Amino acid sequence: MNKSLVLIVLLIVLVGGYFLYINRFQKPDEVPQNILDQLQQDKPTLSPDEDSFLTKLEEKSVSGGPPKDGIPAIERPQYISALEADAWLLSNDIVFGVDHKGFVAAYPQRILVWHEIANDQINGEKVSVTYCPLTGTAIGVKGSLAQGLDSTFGVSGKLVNSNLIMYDRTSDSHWPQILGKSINGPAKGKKLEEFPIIWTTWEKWKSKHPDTKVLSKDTGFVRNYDVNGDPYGSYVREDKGYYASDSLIFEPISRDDRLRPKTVVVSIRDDQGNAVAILKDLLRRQKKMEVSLGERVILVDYDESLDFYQTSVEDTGEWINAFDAMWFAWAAFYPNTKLIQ
Amino acid sequence: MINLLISIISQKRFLAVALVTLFLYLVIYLAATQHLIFTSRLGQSESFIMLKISPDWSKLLFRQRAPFLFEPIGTIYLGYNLKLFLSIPNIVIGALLGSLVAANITTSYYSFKMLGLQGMRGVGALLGTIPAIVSGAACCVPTLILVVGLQLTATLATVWSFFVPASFGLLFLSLIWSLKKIQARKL
Repeated sequence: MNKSLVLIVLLIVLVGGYFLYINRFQKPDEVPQNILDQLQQDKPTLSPDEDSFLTKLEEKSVSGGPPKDGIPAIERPQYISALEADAWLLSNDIVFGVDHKGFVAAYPQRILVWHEIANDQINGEKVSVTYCPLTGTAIGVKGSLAQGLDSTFGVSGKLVNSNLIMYDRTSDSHWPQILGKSINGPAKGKKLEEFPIIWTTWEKWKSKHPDTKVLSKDTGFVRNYDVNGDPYGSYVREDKGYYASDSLIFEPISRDDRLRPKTVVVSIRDDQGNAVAILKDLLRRQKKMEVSLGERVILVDYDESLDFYQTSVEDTGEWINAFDAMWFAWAAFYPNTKLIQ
Repeated sequence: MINLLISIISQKRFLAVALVTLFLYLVIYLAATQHLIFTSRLGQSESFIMLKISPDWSKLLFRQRAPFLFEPIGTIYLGYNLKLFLSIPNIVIGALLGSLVAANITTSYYSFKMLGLQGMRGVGALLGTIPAIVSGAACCVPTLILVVGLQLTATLATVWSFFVPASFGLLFLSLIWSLKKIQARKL
């Protein structure tokens, strides 16, 4: 009996020690004072409403299960040619296309579903291609947190409204991907600059950009990047799993029953908190649309060759970001969003 | 008690039961944690067994993906449709759990065959294996959630991280209980 007790105690010590050991890596590193000063100088002024909204998002953040960096971002992306990619990419595989400052590349969904973030540099500028499988959103962000202060991003392991919460590796602040703003830490309230990501299929992207590079499966990690490797479901198979079912894994802050939860909407928002969503199928039919966003009018131009769209401000012609999103997540981040259906 | 276990397992017939159980459990554990999968071998070479180790294997070896779930350092293709993601810590965890399951099943079988003890056929012990089997994680959420379609709550997420130690604890206690019964019967 004594031996059994000793063994049980030993087991408890081992398990306890293990948890202490892993928690050691969960503690955020201390942010150097000069970085805090830089962020402080550049700090946005938040209205009380916005401040409490960001705080609420932080409070409603939940653990997705894996720890910080348990879903590893791709840090040194390798690229292959379109010809090489043809050996394993199917024509209807989803890819996230980047055509930015002369850099043309496709990021297969099959790979990013396991990593959610690919950090890279385009012409010396830090950029990240980010993808959240649970909200169906792919957004390109630039790593500039303040004047002269760049960062890469990692996966925090937390989610809000099922959406990926990234953390920046400079100040350890948290950034829900759809919001594009930091909800806590030294960078709270700051907004990330974005660049266009095109959600399309490999066949369409390749036809438009025959010389495109493609993110290689040599990511530095070993994952199931095969056709049936996506653990949530599939955009290729008839059985789409999570991507088409009405059930959610994490309860959003609020629900909006105007559309079914996973309906794809074209989502546009501005810095003032105005938001509009267009049913993607409607845009496919109408081809060109004008929608108001606060005081501005946004032109949305559907490109059939990519099954995507370009968006610009009518008055100035400047680019404004728009991206596909699952309705439930968009409506939970922007409960006052307009919906055009 | 350890001597009793050794004396049981040193008999060929019971050793065979233990080894088969260990092997089967390891296969189930690896499949449940998605380290052993069925897949097509599109674009791969034709050799029957193919091993591919990541150049970054030393950095990945003890890196965690989720509680008690570690990074694979490479893949082994077994035949044309079976792929094993080689995660050494997870193979060790699976083997340790498998050894406990094997010890439980073997002692239960022994007590039934040799001593005629009823109601100890390892069903209780098998229940202890369930937490470890459902401890696998997809990229973002526990596999259990995806398979069963539950909604993940903070409580479940916390409990989930204790699944593997819970299995160890349950299997260990079950083994002690079986061995004590056998000892008492022998006396």
